[in-house]
Amino acid sequence: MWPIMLIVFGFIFGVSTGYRVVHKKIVPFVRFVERTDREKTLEEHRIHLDETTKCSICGDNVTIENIGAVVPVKGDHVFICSKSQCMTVSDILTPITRIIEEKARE
Amino acid sequence: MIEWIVGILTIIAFLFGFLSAIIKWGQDANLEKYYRDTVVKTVTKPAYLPEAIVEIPNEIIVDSREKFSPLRTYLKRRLAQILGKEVPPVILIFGQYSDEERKAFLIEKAFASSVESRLLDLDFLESLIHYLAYKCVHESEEIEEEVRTIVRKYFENSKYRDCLVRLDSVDFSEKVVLNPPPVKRPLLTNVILPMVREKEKSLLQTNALIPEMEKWKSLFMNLVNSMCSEKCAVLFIGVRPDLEYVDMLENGLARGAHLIISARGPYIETMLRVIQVCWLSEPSKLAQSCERDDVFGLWEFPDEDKTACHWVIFSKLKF
Repeated sequence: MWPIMLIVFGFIFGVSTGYRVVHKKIVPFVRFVERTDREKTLEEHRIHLDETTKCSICGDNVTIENIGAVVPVKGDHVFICSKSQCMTVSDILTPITRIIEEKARE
Repeated sequence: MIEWIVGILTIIAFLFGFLSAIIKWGQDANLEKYYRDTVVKTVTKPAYLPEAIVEIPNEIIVDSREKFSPLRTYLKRRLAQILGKEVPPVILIFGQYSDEERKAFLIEKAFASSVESRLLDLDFLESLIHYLAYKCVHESEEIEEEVRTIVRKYFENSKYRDCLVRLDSVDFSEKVVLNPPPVKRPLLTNVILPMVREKEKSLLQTNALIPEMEKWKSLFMNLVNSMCSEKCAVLFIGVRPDLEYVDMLENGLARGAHLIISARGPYIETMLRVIQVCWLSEPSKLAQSCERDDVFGLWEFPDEDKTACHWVIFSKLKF
C-alpha cells in the first residue's frame, strides 16, 4: 500500500512540477527610484550610461539627467528616457513574456 | 517533551506572523494589492479590449526602499519562486512619483502591455493608452478621485483624443459600417485593434523585415485617419445573399479612400466569392483602382467561440 501511494504521490508531484516549470508565471519586480538616488541605484546594479546608451523608443541618448526606466531583458538592459511619450508607450511589465513567446515561435 | 513542542510551535507561529506582517506592511504592499485587486480586475474587463489582446501579469513585486523593503522583497521573491513563479531582475523606474501617480502609472503600464504594438504610430499608441486608462478609471468605482484626476489630465492632453472617442463610439460605428451587425461594437475594439494585433503576430512569425512593418504601420495609420474622417467604410459579411454584398462593396468603395471587409468562420468563403465577383466584373473597379491587403487571424471575444477571421483592406490608389 505504502509503495503504491509513494509512487502515485511522486508521479503527481513530478507532473505538477513539470507543468509549473513549462508554464512559469512571470512576476515583474518594480523599484521606484527617487531622483536623488539615481546614481547610487545605477552603481548598485552595475549599470553604466555612456554615449551609446539610447532610448529604445525614440533613440535619444540616455544620460543620468533624462533616464526614465531601465528594463532588464535577456541578460542586458533596455533604457527608456524620461520623455512622457516614451515612458507611456514602453512595455515594462511583459517584455520578458514577449521574448519567451517569440522564442517559442522560433 | 510537550513543552518543547509547544515552545517550537509558538516560535514558528511568531516567526510566521512576523514575516507575514512584514510582507503585508507599507506602501509597497498597498501598491501590490492595488495592482492585483484593482488594476488587473478592471483592465481585463471585456469592455475595454478583446480577450486576445489582454495579457498582463496577475501580480507584481514593488520595492521603493522604504523601511523593511529589502527583507520584504527577499521574502516575496523566495515565496514566488517556491510557488513556481519566475521573478526576473528588477525594473527601475526613475522619477518623483507620489502614491497616486504610482497607481496611475501602473494602470497605464497595464494597458501599455496590452496594446503594445509596432504597427501603430507612437503618438496614436500614447493617446490610446491614455484613453483606455481614462475609460477604465472613469467607469470604476474602486479607483480614487486623485488617480482619476491624474489619468484624465494625461488623456486631455493627448493628440488623438477626439479620434479615439469617435472610434470607440457605437453611434459613430453606425456611420462607418455599411451593414451594422445585431451586436454593435465600437470600431476600435471590433475592427482596428484585432486587425493590428493579428497582423503583428503573423509578421513576427514570418520574421518580417522593418520595411514591411513600416508599410503596415503606414497602412493602419491611414485607415485610422480616414475612418475618423468617415472616408473609410466597413462591411461585415454574414448571412445575406452574395449580390447584396456585391452592391454594398461597390457602394463602400465609392464612399472614400478605404474599404475594410471583415468575415469570420464559414462566412470567409462568402467574402472571397463576393470579392471574386467584383474583381471579375467589367469595368473592374477593384482591379484597376485599388490596392488589396489581407489580414488573417483569430477572433476571440468573450461569450463567443474562437473562430478564424479574415479582413480584406482595399485602398484606393488615387484619392
